[in-house]
Amino acid sequence: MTSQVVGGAFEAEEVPTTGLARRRRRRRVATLVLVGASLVVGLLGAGLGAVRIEPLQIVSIVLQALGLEPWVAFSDQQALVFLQIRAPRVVLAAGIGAALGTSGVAMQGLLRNPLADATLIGVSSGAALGAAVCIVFGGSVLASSIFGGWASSLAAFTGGLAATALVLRFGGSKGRPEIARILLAGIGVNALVGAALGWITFVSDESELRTLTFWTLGGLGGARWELVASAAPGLLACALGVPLFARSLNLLALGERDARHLGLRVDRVTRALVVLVALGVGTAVASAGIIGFVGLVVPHVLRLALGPDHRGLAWPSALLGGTTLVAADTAARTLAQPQELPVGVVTAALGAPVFLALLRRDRRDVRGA
Amino acid sequence: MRAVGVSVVASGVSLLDGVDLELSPGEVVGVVGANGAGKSTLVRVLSGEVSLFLGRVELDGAPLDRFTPLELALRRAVVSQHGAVEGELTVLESVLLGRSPHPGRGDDRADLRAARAALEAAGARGFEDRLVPTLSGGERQRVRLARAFAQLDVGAASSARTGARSRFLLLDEPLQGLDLAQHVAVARAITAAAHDEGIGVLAVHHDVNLAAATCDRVVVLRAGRVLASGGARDVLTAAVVERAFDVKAHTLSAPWRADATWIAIDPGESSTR
Repeated sequence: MTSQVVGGAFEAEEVPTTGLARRRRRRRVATLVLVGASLVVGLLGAGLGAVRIEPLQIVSIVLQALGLEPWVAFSDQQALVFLQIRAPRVVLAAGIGAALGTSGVAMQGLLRNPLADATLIGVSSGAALGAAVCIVFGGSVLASSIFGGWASSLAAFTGGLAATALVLRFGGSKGRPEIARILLAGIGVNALVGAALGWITFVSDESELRTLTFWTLGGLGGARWELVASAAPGLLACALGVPLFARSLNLLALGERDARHLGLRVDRVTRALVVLVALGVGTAVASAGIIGFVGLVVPHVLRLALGPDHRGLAWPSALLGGTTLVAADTAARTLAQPQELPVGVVTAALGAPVFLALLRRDRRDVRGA
Repeated sequence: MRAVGVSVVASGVSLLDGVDLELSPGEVVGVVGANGAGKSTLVRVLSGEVSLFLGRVELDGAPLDRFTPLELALRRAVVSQHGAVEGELTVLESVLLGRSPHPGRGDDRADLRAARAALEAAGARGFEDRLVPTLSGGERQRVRLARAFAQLDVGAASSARTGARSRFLLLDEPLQGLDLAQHVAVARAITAAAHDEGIGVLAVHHDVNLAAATCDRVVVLRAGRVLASGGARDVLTAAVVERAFDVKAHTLSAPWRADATWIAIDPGESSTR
């Protein structure tokens, strides 16, 4: 009893922090909910499909693979499907979703615009151009080279980074990137890349065009452990790197000038974030094509729910981005069995209504909070 | 803080031309002058924002470019003329951002205490949980002042302050958007920060009477040069104002205040020069 009273008195002495504490508590709850949701969605994503695997069976397969005692029985086929097909696919989807989510946080924070995403720095269109060049012109030459089936992914990654390098080159003066200029340089580079893509589309034949279109629509059908391993560095750099800049992004919300007065090296932060986003999104596009919507909407939805503090946005965006993409990919391959829908179609079809609903709610709630 | 012979030329136009200025801890120095006289440019040079200039700018005896951005941020705060439209931050969150140059997480108990003291000193206590976009222009201006106060530890117990480094506050039109009652309150808060806490304040003012009433010393700029400088009451005479603004000005006095005069501008008369 006494200890409780003492505790209470100590609590009362703490500086009262109503609004701040509420937002922090909400952030903590949201992170927990998202961790739980991502586990559930991951188990579902790995379990649903032509070969069904129950959640407990998945746990048992993992336990056996780790050399431990499995809890429940499962067939060899289930183990094979899980370990060779489903697991790498879920892991890749989670990684790509996390990179896309955090890249959205970085771009929206950097450009101080809730409608910004990675397409603004040219990385997606550059990657598409790289892949198009490879598919239409490289075909036989590259396919027989040491890169084999990896050629278009490699070309896409290179194209994405090259386009971003151009944007950074033109998006600053005297080697220092400036945020407003980066936006303009991105528009220029995107237009140039669009022209090149249009020309390649024009000269390509029917089958090349079809390959190109499907590549652009995106899909995780090619997910194998080798692909996961090669994509991991870029995706992790973005998903783990962007949260380190959360406080810098908070300062940038005050405007470049005020951020600089508070000691932020705006040019360095800008360059670092653009490079991280290019690595993450370039890798994502190279391994699964262009997947829209996640990078744009995930941070936006979280901002409506949790407030604008980037320390509370970065990690949840990685979690929600990953969860969203795993869910979308599971829907993409199960809804129209045995065919697969392009995952980008699913992300937009599932997410856009959620987004619109949140916008309506926002009008009533946020101002009054 | 000291500027010696500072000249700035941008796109072939001379913005500042050989300006000398001395800003000591504990005093409020006003800068007045017509639009385009170089007031904001002077603030930008002193804040380290403009690095291409002739002459010298020193802080604690060392050239300004010797400091890293973070070291600078611990010694001088700036309230520039136009703040960005902030996102949906609460007032307290916005003021806490002023703590970011200081070591630590930026929102622990010491930071909260500093932020609250700053809000108190800026007269912005009582709406710390409101969202910044819902504030009036005057309230927002006080929040920006509070953020600068939090950056410089204004209002915090002196023992909480790290070391004895000198601190400077550069204000570009700090009273813009405030109503008359707030003018007095905020001007008093700024003066208190200087006189009680030893902060050197440089404040750009549009209103010469306000500058005369709230500043210890005044520098009058005209076309990038120092037209006059010295004690506020001595410098801001009708003659100086006429030259600085190209208007016709008169000195008024009130029978109930022997120590103060006001400068009035007659809109009907044009300059005789």
